[in-house]
Amino acid sequence: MSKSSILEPFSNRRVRIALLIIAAFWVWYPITTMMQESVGIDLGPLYSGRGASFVGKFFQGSGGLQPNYINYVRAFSINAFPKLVFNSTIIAITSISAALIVGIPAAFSFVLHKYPGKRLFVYSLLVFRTISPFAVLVPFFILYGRLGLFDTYGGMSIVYLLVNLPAVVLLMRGFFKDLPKETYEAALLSGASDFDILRRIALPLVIPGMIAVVIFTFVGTWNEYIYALTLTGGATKTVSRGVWAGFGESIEGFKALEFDELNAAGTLALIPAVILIIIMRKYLARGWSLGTIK
Amino acid sequence: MIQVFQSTNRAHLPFIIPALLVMLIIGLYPILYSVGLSLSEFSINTPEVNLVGFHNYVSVLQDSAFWSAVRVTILYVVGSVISEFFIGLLLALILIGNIRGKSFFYITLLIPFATAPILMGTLASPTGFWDDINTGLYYGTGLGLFIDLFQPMVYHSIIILSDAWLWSPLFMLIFLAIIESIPRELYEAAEISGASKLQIFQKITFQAVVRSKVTAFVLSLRVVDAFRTFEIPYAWTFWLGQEQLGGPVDTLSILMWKLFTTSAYEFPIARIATISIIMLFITMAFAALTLRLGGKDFV
Repeated sequence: MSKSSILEPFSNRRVRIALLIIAAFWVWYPITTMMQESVGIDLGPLYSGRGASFVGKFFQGSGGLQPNYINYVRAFSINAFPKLVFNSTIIAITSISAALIVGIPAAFSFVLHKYPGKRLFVYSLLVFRTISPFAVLVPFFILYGRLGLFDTYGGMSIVYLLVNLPAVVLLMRGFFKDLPKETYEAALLSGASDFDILRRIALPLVIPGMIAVVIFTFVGTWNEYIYALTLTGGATKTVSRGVWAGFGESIEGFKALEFDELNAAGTLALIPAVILIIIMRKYLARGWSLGTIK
Repeated sequence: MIQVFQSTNRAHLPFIIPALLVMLIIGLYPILYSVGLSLSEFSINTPEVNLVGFHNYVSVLQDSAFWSAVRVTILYVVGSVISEFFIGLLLALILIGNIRGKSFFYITLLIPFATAPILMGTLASPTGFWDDINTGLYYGTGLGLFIDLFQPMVYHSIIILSDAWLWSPLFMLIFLAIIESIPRELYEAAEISGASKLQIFQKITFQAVVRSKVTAFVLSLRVVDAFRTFEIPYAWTFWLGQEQLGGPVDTLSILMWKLFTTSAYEFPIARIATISIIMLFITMAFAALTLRLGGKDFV
């Protein structure tokens, strides 16, 4: 018996494989359906032998098995998908850079210095990380109206700075903690300043961690919806907001939307996020558990 | 943990002041602003603000819509966190050890981490992937079956399971890390003493998972996160909430969203602020619990 098999709770291999297939289906089904419908394929006719129909209260699609790419063409022409990507990227890069510039020294200071109020500091970071957006949204909404920040890159970057800064400080702090203390000792003895230690010694050692934090916050900003829904208009609409923009438009009292187009845009929006997540896969648990899992 | 070296008292200030300033200006100031709004009578059309004390709180707490939103929110928090825990545990148990296709499956389970909640919400809503399922059930079985998405039991379960779809892989990763860290000697001893696979699971693996501090910490973090849930129920509000379609799916966030968008003339800003401050207190309580569960290492 191999060493790791002691851990396995399933004595029956077939049960386990069946569960594995069910679990893979559970994850893949929404995604593959989205991709399949984005190219206009509809499995309905396979079962019913006819086109459009109603099941329950619902109109069931009448596509077919022939793929077409019109939704992707529309995403790039009419729906200006590249513009959404540009907006999201600008806003994410600005807010994440600001969060890194402000957050990394604070994170390093947690490890290097001794000062009262650290617990309160961590606590407020946690609160801001988990706050219901509406607690700050209404003031942002009012103030942005007055300050002219509504629907601007600057305004959106500021909002996302509030989301990303706590993550940057909490996660970078963990990476600095992991460095062995010998790393600093020599530098401290030779009289280097604190900022020099951060810049020359500590920061280069945590670059992989920093990249993971950047990806983590980038995907978060890319997928964020409430602030984008409320504070962006035509000029700075982000991907997650833009992809679902046509959503909920009312046609004769009944809400409808171009679901196929939405699927195409949703697929396009998902691909970069999946690639980034795969790149940072080693740090996933660490990111989402705010550093408690190493 | 690294030792603290510095003895000068103010060495930390240049490091933390920028972050503190940012948090005060774009975090604390808006919150205090909200508190102010919640204590006043405010209208977007008139510039003057009248302090009315706790009047808004009293009127919110007497509102049945608020309590209905609270009930639904609690249902979602409890339902989604529990299902994430158990689905995550099952996923971890399937994936432990050597199995063919493990790396494919591992990559598969990373997809939910990249998926926007609004995307999952929309895919699982009536316009989403039910099309093929229902047509298949209806015609494929020949029995005329279909899943009636407008039954309260059905849509509440789907909303909860959509959230579980997004977050059970997180629990899976955490449980995998915990199980990998259990000393192998424990298992070997149990095996020698003739314990069955089920007993080993109950007495060792499950105990380790449940008693882990990390599990408690992540559960608490997920509870606060589920508490502010918005996107998935929001995707459903285009279909539900209308009387003919069944009960409300108002979480507290959606209640506020509705106040925010639907009352164009009497913009109920004070009311939204009041509900969000009530929510803030609950978030703060859970953040305190999370901090406690994080233990010494987390501070």
